[in-house]
Order: sequence, then structure tokens, then C-alpha cells
Amino acid sequence: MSRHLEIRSERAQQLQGLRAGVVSRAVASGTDVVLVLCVYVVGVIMASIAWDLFFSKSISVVDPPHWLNELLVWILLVLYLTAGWSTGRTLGKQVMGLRVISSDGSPLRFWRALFRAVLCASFFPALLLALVNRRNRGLEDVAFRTVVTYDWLPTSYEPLAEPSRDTQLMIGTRSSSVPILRS
Amino acid sequence: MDQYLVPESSEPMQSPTALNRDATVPQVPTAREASGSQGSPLKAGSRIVDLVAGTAKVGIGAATLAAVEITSRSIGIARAVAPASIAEGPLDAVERHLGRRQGEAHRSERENRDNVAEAAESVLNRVVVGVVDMLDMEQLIDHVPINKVVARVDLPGVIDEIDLVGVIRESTTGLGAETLDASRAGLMAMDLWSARLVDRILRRKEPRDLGVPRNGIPRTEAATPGVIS
Repeated sequence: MSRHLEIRSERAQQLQGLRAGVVSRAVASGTDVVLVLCVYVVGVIMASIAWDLFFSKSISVVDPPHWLNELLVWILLVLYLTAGWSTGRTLGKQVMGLRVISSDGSPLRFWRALFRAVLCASFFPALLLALVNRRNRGLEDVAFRTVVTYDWLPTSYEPLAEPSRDTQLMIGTRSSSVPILRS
Repeated sequence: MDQYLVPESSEPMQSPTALNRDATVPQVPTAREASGSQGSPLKAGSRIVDLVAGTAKVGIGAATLAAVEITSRSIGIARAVAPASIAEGPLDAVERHLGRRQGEAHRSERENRDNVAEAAESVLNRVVVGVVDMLDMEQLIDHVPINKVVARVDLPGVIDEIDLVGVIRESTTGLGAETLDASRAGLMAMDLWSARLVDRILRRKEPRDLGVPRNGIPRTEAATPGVIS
């Protein structure tokens, strides 16, 4: 059975393929950052142990300087986000059921994913613009013409052209080409 | 189809028995008792009549078909024997008539066969329920060597047949997916709530535009209507 059919919440079904809100996106981004930090810490520990095994008589964990930590985490985050967005989606987005696509609905290309990742990794508050933007667009979305959509499906999902009239009435949103009447 | 196999009586065990140890003759339930546990006797009687009548109709239909077949063969022989100039007209008329009768007989036979099958099934169900009701289950169970039956069951084999790992995996996966979906739905609700809150603070009258265009089809901004509050 299709996973789409297993989504029990009617509202969730109707929101699939539409622009995601700031809370889901923030949680997904936080998950990605925590994951990268964990990978970095484990990587540093493993690298220290491996180094000491070959080149030292005692085993100790190295404590890199602050700036180096930040630089390495930043690089790791950029690489991770770029890889995730250009090939599918990051683990955080996967968990939260989100997907980053171009504003025309096509998958994100490498360079656009890279530049978007650089901006996101450098300036986390960029996402906050989505809180006030009429189309839930963060600064990175505006700058690189991307869209973050709800996509709970494990496989690629073609975004809806626009929410149905019933969906608009239910969630109080509108599409740019569908009139709605609110009683 | 009537569901006669499930007796409505809550105490089927207490009906007269066929396996009494004192070898008494089992008592057939009266019509009133039967009606209490199996439905209307009138209906049962009508089903039996249906069965008999349907069987008779099937027999008549078969006889008709046989007669038609014999007549048809006879006509063939008559054609071969009699001169064509004399026999052709009357024989053709008889053949046409036979053809019509044959078609009607086939149709009628099919219908009757279906009716008979249905009626037979219904009557059979009633008979089975009646027989089961007549049995004393307690005594029947006493006579069945349960231990021997159970001993012959290959319990380890049955357990091996059950894919416990698969069952656990399926249930765990389902539970995880439900939990994940619930979390996502909660965050989705918070997304909508926060958007509405911000829009209310900013005194926006138009709701947000969450639509995404399809691949390659640009958005038509000019077609943006307002919201009529």
C-alpha cells in the first residue's frame, strides 16, 4: 500500500506538497545540526584515537581550538546540507517529512543547494523570515528561489499545483490562482 | 442467501440429544422450538416447496429439451426420406418452432437450476442446524479423545510457522510510523497556528499562499484574487 494512503490525518494528506511552516522547518534544521555535531564529535574522537594508535604511546582525545571546531563543523554542515538537498533530503527533513525543491517545483541542483547550504550554515536566523513571509519563505528561499514543502512520502512526491478549495477553507490559506470565499 | 448455520438460540446444548448414553430415542424439536432457534417455519416450508417445485421444473425442462432433440433428429430423417418439394415447407415451419422452444427451454432450465441450487442450499443449511441442535455437545466432547487429538498436533511446527520476528518487526514499524506521523502532524498544526498568530498580529486579512507550482509551469501572479471576508 502506498505510504500516502497510510497518512491518517486528513489535514496532513491535504497539506502534502504545500509550503511548510517555520516550526517544522526549525525542528528539521535543529535535527540536522545536532546530527552534524554528533558526527563531528565522534569523528574527532575516532580520529584522535586512530592517530594515537599509530603515532603516540598514550591515547588521548585532542581538543582542537575553538575556531577550528567551528570551521570544521561549518564545513561539515555545508557538505551535509548540500549533499542532502541536491540528492534527496537531509535526515532532519526526512524525519520531519519535508523536502526542499526549486520554486518551479523541480529538484534542487547542486550549485543552488551549495549556496543555500552556505547561507543556512552561516546565518541560522535566515529561517525566521518564513514566520512573517506570506509564502512561508525564509531568507534562503528568497535568495535562491527555493521552496520547502510538506512531503511525508518516503519517495519523491510531485508537489500540488495549488491547494484544493476545501483545503484552503480548512486551513485558512489561499493559493495564488484559486479564489476563496470565507463565511 | 439465508444464514441458517448460526442458531439464534443461546442454549443449543440443551436441546434433545442423539447421543444419550441411555440410548433413548432423540426427540426432534417441535415446530415451535425450531422456530425459536431457526427462524420462521413458514419460510422453511416455502423453501422446501421451492426446492421440490424447482426440481420438477428442471425435470420438465430436461424432458422438453430431450423431446426437442428427438424431434429435430426426426426432421433430419424426414428430410432425407421424403421428397424435398413436399416436405420442405412444413418441415421448415416445424424447425423454426422447435428452435424457439429450444431457446425458451434453455433459458428456463438455467433459471430453474439456479433456483433449485439456492433452495437446496437453504434447506441443507436448515437440516445441518437442526442436526447440530439435536446433538448433546457435552456428551459428544466426552466421547472425543481430546488428548490424543492434541498429541497429534505438531505444536513446534505450528510455532515455527508463525514468523514471530516478522510480527514483532511489523508491529514495531507500525508503531514507529504512527508516532512519527503524530509528531509531524503536531508540528504541522503548530506551523499553521504560528502563521495565523503572526498574520493576526500583522493584521493581515488574506491568508497565506501555500501553493507550489508544478514542474516547469510558472505561477500566474496576475490571477490572484482577494479573500472575501
